[in-house]
Amino acid sequence: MDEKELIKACKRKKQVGQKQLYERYYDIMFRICYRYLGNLHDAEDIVVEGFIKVFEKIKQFEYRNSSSLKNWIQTIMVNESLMHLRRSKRILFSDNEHILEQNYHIDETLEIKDIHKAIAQMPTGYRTVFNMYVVEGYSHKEIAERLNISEQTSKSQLSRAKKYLQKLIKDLNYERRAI
Amino acid sequence: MNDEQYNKLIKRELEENEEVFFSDIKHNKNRSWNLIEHRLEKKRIIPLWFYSAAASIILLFGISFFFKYEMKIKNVKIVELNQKLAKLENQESREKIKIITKTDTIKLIKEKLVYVPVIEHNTIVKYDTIYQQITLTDTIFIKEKLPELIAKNEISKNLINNQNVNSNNQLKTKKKRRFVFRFGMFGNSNVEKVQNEPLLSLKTELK
Repeated sequence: MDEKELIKACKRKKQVGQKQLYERYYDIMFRICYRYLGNLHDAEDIVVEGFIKVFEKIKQFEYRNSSSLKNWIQTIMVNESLMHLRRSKRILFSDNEHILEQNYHIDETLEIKDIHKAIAQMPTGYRTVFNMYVVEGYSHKEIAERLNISEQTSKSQLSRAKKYLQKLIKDLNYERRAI
Repeated sequence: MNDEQYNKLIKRELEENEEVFFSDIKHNKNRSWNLIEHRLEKKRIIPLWFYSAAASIILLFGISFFFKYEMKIKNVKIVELNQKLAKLENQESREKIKIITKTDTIKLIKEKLVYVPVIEHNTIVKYDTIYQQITLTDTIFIKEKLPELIAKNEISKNLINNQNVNSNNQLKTKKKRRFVFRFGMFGNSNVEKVQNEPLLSLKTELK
């Protein structure tokens, strides 16, 4: 079933189509949610909520190109993750709006597991802005609007997140070398 | 490494190698789908309730409108009938008024003995001595029974109908016997008194 047929089937609320859509996008969406929430259980719950919303709102979706469906589902998942963070009052942004200037150095032996671990260990405010800016590609203005913070706060949160990440990766590398 | 390079590197690492990291959690996928399926089923059931409730409300409104319409028609008919009835009542009341206004005059008459002069004879006696003329009048009277009106009263026809007086003859016999009228069917003594007032006075007069 190609994407257009899949959308049609989902609009008709056909279970076969819904299952296929779920199978196709589950992994990507789970990763996105995991990046925002930092733990598997929450990510799983939010993916479920997100897909239910996708099936409910798919009538409003208009197909434009091959990536439009993925982007639309992704937006829903990000929104659901942010809503979950807001509900659980886990997003805390530090009042210090000073942007840290730093030179980044990443070890060539950097492992993906280390990045994920480091991201998961970040404070929620840092992680949210980091994900939105670095991974999803939102601008600081968009982040500020979405999270109801100032652009300056978004910028400072990002610089702190990066510093935090670098430090965590460095520590993890030290630990590995020590072993 | 500058800011942009750093961002790109992290993004590339995450996108390219994510599958390796997430390979061990694929078993949760089925459980999540079961949850989604269950929730969607539940949401499908709710509209059934919603539709049935909506249908029953519509039905209720339909029935109420139908009954209201029926009532309206009935009301119009009742109004028409009432108007007709009012017309008939008006006619009837006019007739009643006509009946009431028809009055009978009751006269109570008694025979009275009177002496009616029949022949009157004048005799002239002349006296030569005195130039005088004396006239003597002899009158012959005849004894006659003449009717004398003792009482007269006007009674409406309606009133007569409500009494026990069926005929004039009966009324006359009663008159002769006791000189009392009985208007006893009213039941109300005051009314009877008022009605019989001229008759009572007549009675006393006769006594």
